[in-house]
Amino acid sequence: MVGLSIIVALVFIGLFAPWLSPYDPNKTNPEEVLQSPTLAHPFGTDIWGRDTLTRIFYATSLDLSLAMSSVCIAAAIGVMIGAVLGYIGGRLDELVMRIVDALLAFPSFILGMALMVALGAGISNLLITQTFIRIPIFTRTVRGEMLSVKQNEYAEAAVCVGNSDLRTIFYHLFPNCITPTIVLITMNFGYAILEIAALSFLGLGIKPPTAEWGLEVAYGAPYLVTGLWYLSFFPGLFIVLAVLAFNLIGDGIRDLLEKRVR
Amino acid sequence: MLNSLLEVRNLRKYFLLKTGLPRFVKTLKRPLKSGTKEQKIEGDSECVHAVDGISFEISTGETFGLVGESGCGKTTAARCILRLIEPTSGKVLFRGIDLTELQKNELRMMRRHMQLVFQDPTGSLNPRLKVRTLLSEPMTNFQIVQNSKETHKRVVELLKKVGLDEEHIDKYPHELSGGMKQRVGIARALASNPDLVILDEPTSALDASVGAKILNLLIDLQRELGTTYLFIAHDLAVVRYICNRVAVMYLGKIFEMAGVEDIFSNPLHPYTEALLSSVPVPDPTIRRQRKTLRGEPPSPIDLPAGCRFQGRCPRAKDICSQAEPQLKEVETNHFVSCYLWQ
Amino acid sequence: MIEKSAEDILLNVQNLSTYFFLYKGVMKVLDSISFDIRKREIFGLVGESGSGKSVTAFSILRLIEEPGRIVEGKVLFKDQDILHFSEREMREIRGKRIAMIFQQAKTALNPFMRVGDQVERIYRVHEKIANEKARRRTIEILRKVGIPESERRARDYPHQFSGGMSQRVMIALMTACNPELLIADEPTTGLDVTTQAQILDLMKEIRDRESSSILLITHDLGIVAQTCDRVAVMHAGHIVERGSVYDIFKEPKHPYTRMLLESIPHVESRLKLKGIPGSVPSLMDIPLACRFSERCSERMPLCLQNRPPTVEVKPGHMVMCCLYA
Repeated sequence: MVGLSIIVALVFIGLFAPWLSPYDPNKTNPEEVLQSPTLAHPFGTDIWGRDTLTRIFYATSLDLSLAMSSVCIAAAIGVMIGAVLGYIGGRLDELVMRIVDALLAFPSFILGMALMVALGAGISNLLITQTFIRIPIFTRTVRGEMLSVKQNEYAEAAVCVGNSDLRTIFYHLFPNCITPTIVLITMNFGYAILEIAALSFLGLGIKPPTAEWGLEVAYGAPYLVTGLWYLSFFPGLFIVLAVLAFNLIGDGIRDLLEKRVR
Repeated sequence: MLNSLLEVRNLRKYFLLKTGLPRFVKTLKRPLKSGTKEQKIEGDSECVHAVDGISFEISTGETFGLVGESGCGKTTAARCILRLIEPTSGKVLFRGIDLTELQKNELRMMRRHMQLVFQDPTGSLNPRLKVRTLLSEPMTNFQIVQNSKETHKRVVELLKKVGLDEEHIDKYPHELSGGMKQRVGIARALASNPDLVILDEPTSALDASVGAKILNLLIDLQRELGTTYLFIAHDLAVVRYICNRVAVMYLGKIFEMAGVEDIFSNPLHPYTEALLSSVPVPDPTIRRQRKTLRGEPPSPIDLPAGCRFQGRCPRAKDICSQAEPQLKEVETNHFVSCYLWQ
Repeated sequence: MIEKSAEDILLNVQNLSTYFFLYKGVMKVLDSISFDIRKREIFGLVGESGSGKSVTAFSILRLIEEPGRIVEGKVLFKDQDILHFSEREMREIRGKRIAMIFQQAKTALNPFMRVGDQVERIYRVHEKIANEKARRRTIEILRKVGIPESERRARDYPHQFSGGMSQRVMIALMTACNPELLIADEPTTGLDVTTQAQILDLMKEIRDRESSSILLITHDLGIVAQTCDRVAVMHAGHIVERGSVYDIFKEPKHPYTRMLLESIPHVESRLKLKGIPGSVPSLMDIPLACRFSERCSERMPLCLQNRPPTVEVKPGHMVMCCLYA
């Protein structure tokens, strides 16, 4: 519940960023460089005099939508592949699962980094690679569920009454395979946010001057030593809040589902 | 046979074991008599001979029983006949058509004529579907109905036929008792007006009082619709009640096949005799002399050479360990696979 | 038949009631059941699913946990009311003087321990004997329950035994200390009929050879007829009829017993089966009345008013039914 409210708040911020903050996120303002948080600039300003609050707010919609869409698309693709593979089995299943295993062996961040280095930074590449690296986990999870669900007699019964394979998989068995997926999706939202931010921090993600949480943290990094904590702190805070929120939602959903099972 | 609806010829189903498993399975083997040999097929992998060459015919309108203890292959045989599992070899002729040769789509359409009633009423009904959907699916899949009004009418008729009220039509399986669920299972099997219904131990999971009603229902339905039944069971008393002819299976082979009265009053195979004498009769004044079987069945992977019953047979002869006996007709319509009668 | 003397009775259950207290209400799973088991007999407790047979066994062994509770009654084991024993005293009883074997032997055995070790442990703990002696006793008991080559097989793990053999192992485990009462809860369900016959023979041996009594819980009337000496028939938490196995099968008095007998197919004949209409009533907050009355063809208004009286229609043959009041 807490998580949900945080996310709702964040979404709100993201959607209404232009109205919530009075400043232009990209307009530089040399007079007000590196100011500490004040009433005029609650989160301070960065090296170019841009209001940090504004930038963070604008970044919200970008980060959230990027993370959520990449996970959702990955889930959609992964789940379908997993369901079909789990049901059909055979050599195709073995082949694809070996590939999936190989991909899963890499920590997803390293994989993401490698791909972004290969493809170059930028929002579209980021979306593609984030989606791609998340597909395997959904495939593996749903395939596992399918393997056990297909043992049920009603799976046999579905074939008996004349259903085609496709219909048996997606109409009969699929709904029973996806329960772990829901929790997985929400958890992955959190991971995605973290990775996008981290990649951007390293310069491998979103390209400046677009506002993005990780980028903002990066801007503030050199100044931490000199005591200008606020530049990195606030974007970092938002990252933490978002990830925390998604994790809380994930936990909440899992508890809800478990209660129903009992 | 003129009236033969289903003819099974030399059906075999072997399950291949991958290399990792044989070592583990070896530890499951009972001490073997000398003269065992491994049956290898296709290179070095061992296999489980679940169904090892069975042949029989079922005439239209009869109830044919396939009896045996667990592991004898009867359930696998039923799945192979319907090609829910692919048989390793053999032919299954349904109304003269060889089911093993059909393409996937032809087979799918063929299924309307042969249906299956499952043992577990809970597991065989998709918990997310209402009774209405469960029963209308076969009708729509096989294009028996044209529109939803007709579907509804036929579903209600079907429910009534199996003794359920129309009010159950929008219920979910978990809202029904075991007996009612099994009735839904039977209704589903009958939804496409099949010629053959295979019943896989339909009353094993039910209480005696409920099972009795289901058996009577099956008998009434058969009388009304003329459906042919292949009845799979391990409970001999149930088989005697409902079947016309019976085949007794053991480790993938048919040991004896005859009319039901014949087999029960005059069992020829030592295994059938032992089986019959082991069934506890619910009458304390009848205490039969039990024909004890020694030991345990051998593993279906490492079968001994010769008759697979030799290790436990009280009347085994030398010839029994040399070659497997064949199923032969030794009396009118009474087939046995045993050297005592050949 | 046999004169019932006080010394003959091993276990005397009197008015045992076990309720389960749930959010939705109270499930009166056992309602004032009474029966007794004599020495050296096999007593059958027969009933369909939901009749409360297993709960009876667990109640006797005081293994009922929240939300269930034994609310009234006495369980006199050799004249001592074990319902009032402390947990420590119960531990002395369980496994040693009253033992229980379950349905699925494979799940009851520890898959990580060799079978011989599991049996040896019993000896070491309960009888406090040392290694070599325990080992010899182990091999002996495995042989007694019919496991061939017991010395070799003692070194095997449970998964290496077939269904029937692992059931024998469980019997060995439970009879290791020569319990006076062995409770067998559906010991042959899931086993082949030939294996079942062997296990039931083993039970009779245990009764004769070790002078133990057996409480055999089952739904299979065939087993009861062939194995038991006396029987109690349960329906929805009540014992509706009790008597010798001859009484129950040849002269059933309770409508439920009669209808049940007419529902089972015989391997010897092909009589028309009759089922029992309706189904077992829900035990949630069930009123005090005859629990079979809904399904009974001989129902009278009296049946709905109170718990039917238990009448002794013949010495040793009790029926709980208003028809005989």
